[in-house]
Amino acid sequence: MRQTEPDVATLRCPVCFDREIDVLLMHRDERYYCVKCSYRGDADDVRTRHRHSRSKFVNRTRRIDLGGIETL
Amino acid sequence: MILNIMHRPDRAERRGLFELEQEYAHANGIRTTILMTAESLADPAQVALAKEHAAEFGDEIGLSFHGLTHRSIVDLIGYGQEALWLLSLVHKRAVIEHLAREFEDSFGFAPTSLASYHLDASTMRLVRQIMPQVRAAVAGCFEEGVRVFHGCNHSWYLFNEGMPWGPWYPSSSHTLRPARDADDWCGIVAVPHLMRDMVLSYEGRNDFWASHPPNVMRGMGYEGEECPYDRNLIDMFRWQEQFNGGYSYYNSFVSTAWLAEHHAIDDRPEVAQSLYRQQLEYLGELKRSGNVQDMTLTGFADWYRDHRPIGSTEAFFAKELLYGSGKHYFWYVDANWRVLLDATQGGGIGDLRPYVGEVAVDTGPESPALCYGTYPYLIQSQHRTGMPNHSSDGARSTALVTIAGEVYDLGEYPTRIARVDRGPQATVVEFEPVAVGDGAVATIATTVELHRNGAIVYRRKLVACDDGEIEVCERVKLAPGITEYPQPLAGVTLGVVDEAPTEIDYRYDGRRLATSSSGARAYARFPSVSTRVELEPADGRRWTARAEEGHLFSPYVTLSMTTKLSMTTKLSMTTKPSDGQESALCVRLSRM
Ligand SMILES: [Zn+2]
Repeated sequence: MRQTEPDVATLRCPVCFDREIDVLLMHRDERYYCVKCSYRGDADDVRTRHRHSRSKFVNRTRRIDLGGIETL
Repeated sequence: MILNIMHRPDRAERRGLFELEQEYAHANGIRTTILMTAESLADPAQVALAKEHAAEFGDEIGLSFHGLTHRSIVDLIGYGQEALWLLSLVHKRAVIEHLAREFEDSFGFAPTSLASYHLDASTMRLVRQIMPQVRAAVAGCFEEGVRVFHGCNHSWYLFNEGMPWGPWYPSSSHTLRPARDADDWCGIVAVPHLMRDMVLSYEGRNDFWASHPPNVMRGMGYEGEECPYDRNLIDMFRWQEQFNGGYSYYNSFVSTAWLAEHHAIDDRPEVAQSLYRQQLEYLGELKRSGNVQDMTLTGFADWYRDHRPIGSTEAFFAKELLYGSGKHYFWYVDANWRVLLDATQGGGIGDLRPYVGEVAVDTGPESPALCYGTYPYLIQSQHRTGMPNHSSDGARSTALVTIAGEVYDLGEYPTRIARVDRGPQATVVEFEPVAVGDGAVATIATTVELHRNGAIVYRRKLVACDDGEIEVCERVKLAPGITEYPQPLAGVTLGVVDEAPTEIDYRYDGRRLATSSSGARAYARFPSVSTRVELEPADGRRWTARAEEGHLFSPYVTLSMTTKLSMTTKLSMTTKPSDGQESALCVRLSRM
């Protein structure tokens, strides 16, 4: 399906991502679905879940230089 | 810190991205090593570009074994796939000869550097025969194996765990094992494919956490077009200079596919391009300030041979960067073993690779190893349970401490590394003392000595104690393996030495051997890794020994030794921490 609709961005399943597995979502109309698990949702829902996934990396916007490493 | 930047041109339609990568490096004054693939060797424009950049910027041109799906390879061997190391010997030879010829036809000289995600011993032998001029190779992906396989939905057949994280001299019989001496060396200097996060490589899939900005995007460790983690990781490697005599090494190897639309990145390619550029800008800055020295891959191999003798030891003090967990780990590697100490579990061993056994592995259809190029472990707490989950624990080491009749597991007492001393005979890692116990409390300081002869000594010092005397049971739980699944333990023997040795063959029967007298030892032999593990006192104290056979619900060998420690003087306002007794127990690995 992806091949016939190249304008749709690649999105990985947020549920499988949280299990550290890359699975590309399939989509039909506005809905995305996962072939590995039973997740389904629209693009907004996928993005919201991705944001939540990355929130566990609390230092993702923090620069830790040599001095910072010293005190970690 | 020494730096290699490698670029891998491939398909003709991504030539623009290759040019972009080169431009980013050159704009920051960094030389690159261009590793030509079957795809790019077939594209005259990219061959011309490589020649031009070698002449103008001093870039090296080498050969890459990636991308064996190109039609020239399919025509040659009848099918295409990603991994040279998994082909039959006949096909390995055909591909290497073909690519060597194509390269020479294109450039008029033979390459001195190579790249492959893994270069097993059989492929290395062929390389030495067909391309004896090769001096340097990208030859392994640190800790890529079980978790990356899972992460790629069980479709990425690279089982390559148990290697050094930095450059090494591959041995002839297992290329992931560092050579013992010049006779044991395969003849090529190897560097890892990317530098990895030395905490998250142990805890999870590390094709997320590497010196590769689009990999970090794959892991979602960034925000918008900002990824300070890329620079934090560089600095974590710079920080290691102090533990390795001023030496540290870094590389980055981002192929053009990662700067285009990619199946594992949920973002625009422009973001990947921007983050890659930012990484090179930071490295360029470090070069200008004299903190980084860029080299070509072959240039580095020559430097390495001049400055890092075969048999050198290397250490890495890893601090967790991304979650803010405050975790510390310590890695150590020499020709005898690779050891990981986990400060969050009391300084216990989380991963142990017994190089001393010199396990020989070729990958490919003719080899019993098939796709498993991993150097086997004796302890791997992530794959094999570690701390108790719902029943018994798995592979790990710890001390069980008895205070006023209650038993406490030091693995449940997180600590941090307080000091590292890299001496010529031993590397000493001192952990911050922990207060153990619920009612009566004992404060215990752990120091670990990693000796160059394949011995690890655990020292426990009683710093303070409410109960006068405690019992310390040093305990190691082992099982050889290469994946997360147990391997058959037939052939394993375990024993204790009292006045006379008692020994049993492993048959999953839950049996226990114990001694009561002093001068005792416990040991086990693991034929699949040709390694004997022995626990012996290193302090002249009285110890008793135990060896425990597991069963099919807990398929391990547990070796333990127990002694008692007391405060030498009654604790008062004036007593010093040095007033408590100290135990020292040695875990020794030797070749069977
Ligand atoms: Zn899913």
